[in-house]
Amino acid sequence: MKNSEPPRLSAWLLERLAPRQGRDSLVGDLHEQLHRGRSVWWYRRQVLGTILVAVAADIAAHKLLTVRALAIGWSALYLLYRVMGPLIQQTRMTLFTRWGSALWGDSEILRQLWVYYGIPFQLVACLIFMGVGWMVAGLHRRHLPGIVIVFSATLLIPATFQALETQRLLATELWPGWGWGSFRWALLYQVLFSLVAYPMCVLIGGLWTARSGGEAA
Amino acid sequence: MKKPGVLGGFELLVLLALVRLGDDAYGVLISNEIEANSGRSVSIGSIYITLDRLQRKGLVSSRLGKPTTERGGRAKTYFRPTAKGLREVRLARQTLMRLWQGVPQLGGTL
Repeated sequence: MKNSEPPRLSAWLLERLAPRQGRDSLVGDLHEQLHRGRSVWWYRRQVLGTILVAVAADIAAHKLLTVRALAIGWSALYLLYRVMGPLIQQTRMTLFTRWGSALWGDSEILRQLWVYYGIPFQLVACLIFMGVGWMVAGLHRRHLPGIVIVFSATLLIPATFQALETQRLLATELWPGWGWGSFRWALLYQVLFSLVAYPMCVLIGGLWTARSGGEAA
Repeated sequence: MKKPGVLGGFELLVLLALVRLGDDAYGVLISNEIEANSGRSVSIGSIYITLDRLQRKGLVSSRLGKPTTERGGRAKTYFRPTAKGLREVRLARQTLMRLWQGVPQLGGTL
């Protein structure tokens, strides 16, 4: 017998990112089609298509609000960076001197990674990104999915440049002559955090608003 | 912002599907109707987004059906064009007919 339960992640995304108007009926329609023999891949494609069309329609209809949301989000990130920067630097250095050598042993590359991209720093950064995503979403609840997705997507632009710049620095100034093979962990680390984790943190923070009271506004 | 009396291409397809389907039109049937007649794949979500826009323009009205277990306890929303919606469809048809008359060289070749 064919499984007619919707895939969990897709159903979760649909409940949060589909337009509020008509969402219940849309969820019911997709459920009905799944029950009548459509595949889970069909369901996933429908959810993805719905989210993309909804985001595009939302942004096209509210361009000024989108610009405002981006301005608020990026200003908040900049201010937090200026305020928290010295504290983060101090925290990661302290933690490095206590635990760094025990964690990374004699590996020079990993030691350097810990100094420059220590886990406590990333943890604090994740919380900051979640907080900013939550704030931006909270201020734009009527247009929540589109604006939060676009804001988190804009993080990819500076993150890509930062990743490329870090690779250039590693290759030319910090560890010249070590070869690209030595940098694969640094690259993986940067991609993981800057291009995946931070935008995801903004999304999670924003979607948390949808879950904890997005119906108001 | 579009001027009154100007329907988008997809809006016109949805409205025509509503006219063809009558009182039983809901998301899945509308999507199937457009797919069958246009040959293009249409996501049900985009149908609802367009219907919401048409409803805000006063071109479509809706009513809720009864929830069923097959639909996970969710009710169907049935849609139908309003009098204003039908006027817009007729106006779009007249506009298209006039424009087609201006390009006779393409008549019968498509």
